[in-house]
Amino acid sequence: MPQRRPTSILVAFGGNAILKEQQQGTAEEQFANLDSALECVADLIQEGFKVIITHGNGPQVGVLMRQGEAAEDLVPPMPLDVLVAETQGQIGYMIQNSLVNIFRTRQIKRSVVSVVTQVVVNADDPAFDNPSKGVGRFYTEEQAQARMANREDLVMREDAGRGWRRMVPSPEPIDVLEVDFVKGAYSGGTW
Amino acid sequence: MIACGGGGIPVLFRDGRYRGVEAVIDKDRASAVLAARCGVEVLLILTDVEQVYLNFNEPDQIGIDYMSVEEAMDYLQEGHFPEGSMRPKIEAAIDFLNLGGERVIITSLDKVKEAVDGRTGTHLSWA
Repeated sequence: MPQRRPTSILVAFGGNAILKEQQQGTAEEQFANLDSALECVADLIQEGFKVIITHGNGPQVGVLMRQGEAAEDLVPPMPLDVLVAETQGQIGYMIQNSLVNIFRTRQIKRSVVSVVTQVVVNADDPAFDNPSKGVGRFYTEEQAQARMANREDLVMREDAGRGWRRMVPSPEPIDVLEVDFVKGAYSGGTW
Repeated sequence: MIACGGGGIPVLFRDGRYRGVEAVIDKDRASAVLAARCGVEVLLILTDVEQVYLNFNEPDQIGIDYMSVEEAMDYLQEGHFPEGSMRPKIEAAIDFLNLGGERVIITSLDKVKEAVDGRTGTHLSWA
């Protein structure tokens, strides 16, 4: 039985669409990866889909953590929520720039915008009692113990035989604070 | 429209206001919530592999063309999908369908067109 063709799609890009594992992480590499990864979004739009894009930020947030640590004697390091916000702007810009150029080439009249998005989690989420998601770079055990001695709230653990790493909670998403804006803007079909 | 980057900025409601918290939200699960709340029909989760597999990386590995929610939950329980890789994607797919979404497609970046046309990828829906 033929199914009705859907008209709306959310495309969730993984981290490897932006940065491949063996790459250094330069801006040029990330733009080049996106230039090819985002062609499929233009295909979907040309087929009549309304599209929302989401993306990962693992490597990018790891770099920001590392920069913060390297400069912690000069300027205060930012907490993880602020770093996630920074990557939304950084990667959002890269996607916008790449996609706007693809649209221009294909003569698609469409604006591309990124929304800094806050996602509500529950304070009672059991994840807060069990930080299980590794973030940032790997350390030796001695380095990790020294960092934990300096910061009471820091949890670091051996992660899959690759060294010691900061562990943070990964709570369930409950709601998106900016959802009304996202819904209104994307369903109009011009963004 | 680009939203929920990195799973979104995690915030808690505490003492009468929203505050950021030192945590990370799985980006596929946040995508599921966003897609459902926006009334999006299809959630397309891109990953390194063209399909979801049973017995992944074993000699008897088998690609899944279609899974119902019930089948997906059975496979999860049987431990088919590894923590930290395919498992959260399957959980996100189930979340989205539970929240009223119509269809989930899991595939790789280079197969988007074929997967949306139903020729590859792993597709999930209620029936």
